[in-house]
Amino acid sequence: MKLAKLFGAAALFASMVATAHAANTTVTVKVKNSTTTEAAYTYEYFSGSVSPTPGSILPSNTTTFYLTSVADTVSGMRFVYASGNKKCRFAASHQVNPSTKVPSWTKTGTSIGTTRATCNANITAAQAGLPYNYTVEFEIK
Amino acid sequence: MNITIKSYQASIPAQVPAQEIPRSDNTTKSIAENTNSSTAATVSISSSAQARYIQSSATERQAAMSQGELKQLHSSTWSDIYNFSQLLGSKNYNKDDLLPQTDDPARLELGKKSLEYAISLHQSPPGNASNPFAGMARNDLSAVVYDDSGTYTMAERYAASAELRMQDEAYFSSLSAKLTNGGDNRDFFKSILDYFDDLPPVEKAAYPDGYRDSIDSLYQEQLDQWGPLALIKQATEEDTEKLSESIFKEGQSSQEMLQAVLEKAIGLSKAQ
Repeated sequence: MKLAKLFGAAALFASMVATAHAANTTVTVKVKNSTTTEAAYTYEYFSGSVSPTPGSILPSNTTTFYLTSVADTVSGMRFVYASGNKKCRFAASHQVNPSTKVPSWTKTGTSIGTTRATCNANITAAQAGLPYNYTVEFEIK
Repeated sequence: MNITIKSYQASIPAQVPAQEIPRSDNTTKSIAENTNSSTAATVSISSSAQARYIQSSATERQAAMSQGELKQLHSSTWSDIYNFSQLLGSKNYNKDDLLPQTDDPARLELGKKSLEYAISLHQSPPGNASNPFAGMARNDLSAVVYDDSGTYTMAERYAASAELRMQDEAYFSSLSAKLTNGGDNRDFFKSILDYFDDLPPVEKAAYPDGYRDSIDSLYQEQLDQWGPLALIKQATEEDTEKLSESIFKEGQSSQEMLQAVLEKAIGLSKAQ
């Protein structure tokens, strides 16, 4: 029993070392609705799988979803949230320079409605190494 | 941490009132006039909501619907919810028009509390009215939200949708803790699959075709890379410790992980 567990732990570590190569980047996306009515979601673009499918956000509430990219060298997203006449287009991405292997991240929030909205976008966490997971937080208000 | 969708399903009292909830054209009776009745004295809001749910045919209805009809129901539901929110935001409404047409006090109370809660959400800053659907099991909430038969008022469906979304938000926020620095996301993807598999048909229909396969494919890649999840879970159960969490912390170097593995292995050996 002792040996089995010891071997199990060692084998687990060995498998980690052997397979520490390319993986999918997982992006944690948080969107805050700081308006006084529902914010409705509209899809524009995702590079990868999204879980769960984003939806409307209650007033003064936040939603969280995840984008898993098809590769760890690039990820991207663009979508719109609208609350009445306020509308924000949010986007974020990351890419890894193929020669230097240095990652970089982008994020934008743009007001596109008939009533001017404040559209905030921030990268609040990012891994400098593989698989470059990061967290981006958006806000419409 | 092995969170599944079932972990936040609240228990609903088993002794749900089975009586028919009467409908009446007489809507002028106040709650006070009816509070002496045995029904009003014993039926709580949550059990009343549950009674309405039992009466609802949403589950059976969804099972008989085509994918196209389910997608349409999902879309129209959220359109209704959005429009209801805009109505509350405009403050251009008559409260009485948004209450259930009934003289049953419990039924009316549920409608009133739902409306008060929905209105409070649209105040700035938000009010603190409580949600009468708080604590209801997730898929029971879903049955209320997607029941467009007129069984529930828009305020009730809105309040149920708010509770459903807050439960989902809590669930998906908690998944962040499963994202590991080294990319071992087996438990993360398994949790998403569990969540998806437990969804009612109308909510599954909102996902793109092939969604489950794509998540399952990512999960299988993780299994190929990191090994079967069951091995870790078995060890967890035996040791009543979370092996993966207790060993590997975010930000650890390979050397630190190796040291942690060895310390853990030594600890396990000594413990037996």
